[in-house]
Amino acid sequence: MQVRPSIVIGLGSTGKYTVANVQKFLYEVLNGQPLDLVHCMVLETDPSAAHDPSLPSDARVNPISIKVDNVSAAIRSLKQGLGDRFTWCPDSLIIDGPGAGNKRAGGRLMLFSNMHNIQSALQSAIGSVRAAADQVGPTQQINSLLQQRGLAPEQNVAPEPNPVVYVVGTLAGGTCSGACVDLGYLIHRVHPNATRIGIFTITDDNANSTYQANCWAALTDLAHFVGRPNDYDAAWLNLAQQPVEYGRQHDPAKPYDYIYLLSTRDQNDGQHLEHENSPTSPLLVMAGLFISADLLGLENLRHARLVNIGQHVGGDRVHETLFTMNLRGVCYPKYEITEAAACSIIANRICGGWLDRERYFLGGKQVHLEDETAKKMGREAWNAILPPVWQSLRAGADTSGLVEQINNGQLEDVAKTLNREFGIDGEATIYRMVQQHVRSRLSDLQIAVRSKFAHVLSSNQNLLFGEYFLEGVAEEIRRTRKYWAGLGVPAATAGQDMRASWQGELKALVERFIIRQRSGLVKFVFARPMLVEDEVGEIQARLEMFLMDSALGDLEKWITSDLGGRITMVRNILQTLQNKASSRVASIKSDLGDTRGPLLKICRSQQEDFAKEIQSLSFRDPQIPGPQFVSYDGVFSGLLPFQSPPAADFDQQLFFELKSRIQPVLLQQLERDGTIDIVQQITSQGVVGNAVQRAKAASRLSVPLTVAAATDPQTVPAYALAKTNQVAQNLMQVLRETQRDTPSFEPKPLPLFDHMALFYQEGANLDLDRLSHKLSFKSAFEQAKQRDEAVIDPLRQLTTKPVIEDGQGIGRVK
Amino acid sequence: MGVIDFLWKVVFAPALLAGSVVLSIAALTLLGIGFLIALPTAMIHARALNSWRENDLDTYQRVRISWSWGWAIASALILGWLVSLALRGHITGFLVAVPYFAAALLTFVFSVFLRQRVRADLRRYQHLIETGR
Repeated sequence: MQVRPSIVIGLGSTGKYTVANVQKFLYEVLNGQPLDLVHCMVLETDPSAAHDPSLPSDARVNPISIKVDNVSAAIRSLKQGLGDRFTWCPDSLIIDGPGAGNKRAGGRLMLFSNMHNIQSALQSAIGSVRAAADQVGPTQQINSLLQQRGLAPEQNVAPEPNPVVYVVGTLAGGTCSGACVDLGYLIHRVHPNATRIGIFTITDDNANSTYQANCWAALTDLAHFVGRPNDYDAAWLNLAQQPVEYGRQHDPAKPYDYIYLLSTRDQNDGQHLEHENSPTSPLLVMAGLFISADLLGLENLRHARLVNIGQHVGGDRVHETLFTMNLRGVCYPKYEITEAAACSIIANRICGGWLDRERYFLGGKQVHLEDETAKKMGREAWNAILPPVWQSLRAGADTSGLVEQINNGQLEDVAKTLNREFGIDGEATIYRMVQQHVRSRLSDLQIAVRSKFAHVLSSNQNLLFGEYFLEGVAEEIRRTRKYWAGLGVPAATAGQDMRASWQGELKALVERFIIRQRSGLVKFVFARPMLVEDEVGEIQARLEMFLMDSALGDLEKWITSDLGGRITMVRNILQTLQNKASSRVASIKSDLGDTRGPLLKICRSQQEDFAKEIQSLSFRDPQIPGPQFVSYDGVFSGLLPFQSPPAADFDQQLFFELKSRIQPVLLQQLERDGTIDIVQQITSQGVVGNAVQRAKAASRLSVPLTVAAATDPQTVPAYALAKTNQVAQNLMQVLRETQRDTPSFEPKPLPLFDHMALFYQEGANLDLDRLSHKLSFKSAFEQAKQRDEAVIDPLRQLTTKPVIEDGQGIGRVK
Repeated sequence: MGVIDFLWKVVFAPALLAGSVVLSIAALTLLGIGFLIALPTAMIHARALNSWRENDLDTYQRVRISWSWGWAIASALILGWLVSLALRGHITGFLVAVPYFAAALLTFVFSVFLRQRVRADLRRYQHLIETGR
């Protein structure tokens, strides 16, 4: 098994959804571990198009937006920099709606406006996959998977350094149909030795005329440059707004080495796989499965067969380049099962646990939630928090000098001095020295409360427990303030200056001190120095209580409003997430029974159904540690958004993040349960007939043709693919024993896809004249050309030579 | 009767004292002796009690506790001496014992008074803490 360094480029929304399927299959096959030999990119002109909700966050590709918001400014800029080289684009071009507005000129304009960025991204991606091919890491990673699946390791998984670049999209819209030719040549410019494979979906005669016209225009352009590679020439602007030319100085090359056309119709014009603008579209699932299989071994097998394709199709360049294919199979749906189990864990264990009003986690086990336990924890936390912060309140307010002066009799009027030091907000008075620390101590208290709160939440993983804990803290603060009030400390009252009340209280304290220090009881036992120290300390403590009372009032309000508000916010997010995860479980369970897709899904064994397997897997919870949900180190961090109000789609991000942490572990656990014998399960679960149907569907290809394509296994790849050659042989034997008319597929091993049996059929010897819907496409194109030729045919200046037939079957028939 | 002679009689031969005025002065004298007992006791106790400062018991309360113990010890010693005199036959009647009883009672009252004041303050703090819950 060999893997080539590869880039997959999704062009437009269809490309993006296909890439999402590629990512999903790779994730499933590689147990969630990314393979450095493969890099996926998406060039998107419609950033609003939805992501695939089933993909974990680490398996998703962030699209490179090539959307041009101000079309006229972009045209002006390119015209200014390129002059006559930019006359292909009409000045009056207006793009309405999402993407390129279904206008080929729009798609090409957006590509040219972003050519420098795309070239840089491509260079970087090719550099990284080629570098990975020189490392032992990918070989080790693949061998580890092969060993887990009981297969022999490979000496070198990636001996071929030249990359394969796949470009996938639909020719019906504006983005891919307008940009596919230039993108092919850009790839050639960046890496002339890269194998370029275009996989394009086309529409049918039922679609609207714009789609048909776009398809025909793009197909004829592709066919033209396949036949006449010298005709291509283009210029764009680099980062410094200087013209860059593709130029004729490059070796003449086809835009793509291989072009695969796919549609919803089979060779006989029968409906085979549906296509809608969605990642779950069966046709795009099939395209994604094809690319992922190609990335992990199929390309190596196909290449060996296609190397002499020219001899079989008469040496015609278009026939050598234009293909169609179909891929069907039977699989044990590891991805869906693990995703459903992961969603079930998110809904029940994680969201359910955090939102539970009856139980909470203690040492990894769920125990009954009693409010007093949590409140007591809060009270204890407050009593641990306050003393060290209180001590620091005295920093700088040293009363030892004052005590010494009183004891040495250096003060003329002790009472007056004490009343001034502790009662007046004046320069360098003790009052001011203490007061200056109050705000920072409040901040210290908030930090300490946050830290304890985060610790309690991470330990117990329950929001209600956290709420009770905060109630306990608030109760203890109220109790502290009540105690102070009982001692006579004036309580802070909103909107009132309480300093006069404090001065009254201070006066009483000073009078008491004066009386006590004169007391014989004290004097006779020589305790006056200590008494002075204690009494001054007591007055200072009362001052601190007076000044901190307001701060504690603020702290209590902050706990209720700020931290309480954060809990409410997180609760709402978790509730939304729980609903989302639960509905995703239901949706996956329903999809597992859906037979419309290219893959027939079977269970691990006859005794187990999908629901049972999902349930049993969800009990094998990988247990995300509490601190990963929330922790505090100056700021809240972790999965739950306690730090700041999250973005509007945060629940979605969290959903993806949690899935990406749980699903790979579940995939590993499924792997440990052992591989399934796919042939035996096809037989025992009674789906041999369905498997034969899939094999027949694969043999009918994916494009409606007026002349049958070449499908002979000696000419083009027609493979039955399974874990090993032997398993593939057994599969074909079982199918033929059931139905003698099962199409002929050559057994081939695809070891990493051990949970699938695939039927792959390619069709060659295609040209545009053989497309069943050619007349309808051509008519739509002619009408579009009459409306605005520059919009439908942005490459017209390069393809205007009126070649109808040039003896080589070149399909320039515009 | 000189002062020394009076003191000797008050301490060792109270039966020789006669008259209500003399007995009253004897009682005050015994109270003074009680003070002389209470003072060093309170001083020793107060010094020993210094470690209680760490427990947030302020000096004034500690001094009160020390004096309470000092007066209690003084009261006990006065009563003890009275018993000793009685056993040796120096107390011939109830009237003779009145100064001792009076001095013992007063020192005891001082002790209890101081103890109660401390107790009242501590209970107030305790009440403040408990009513907060």
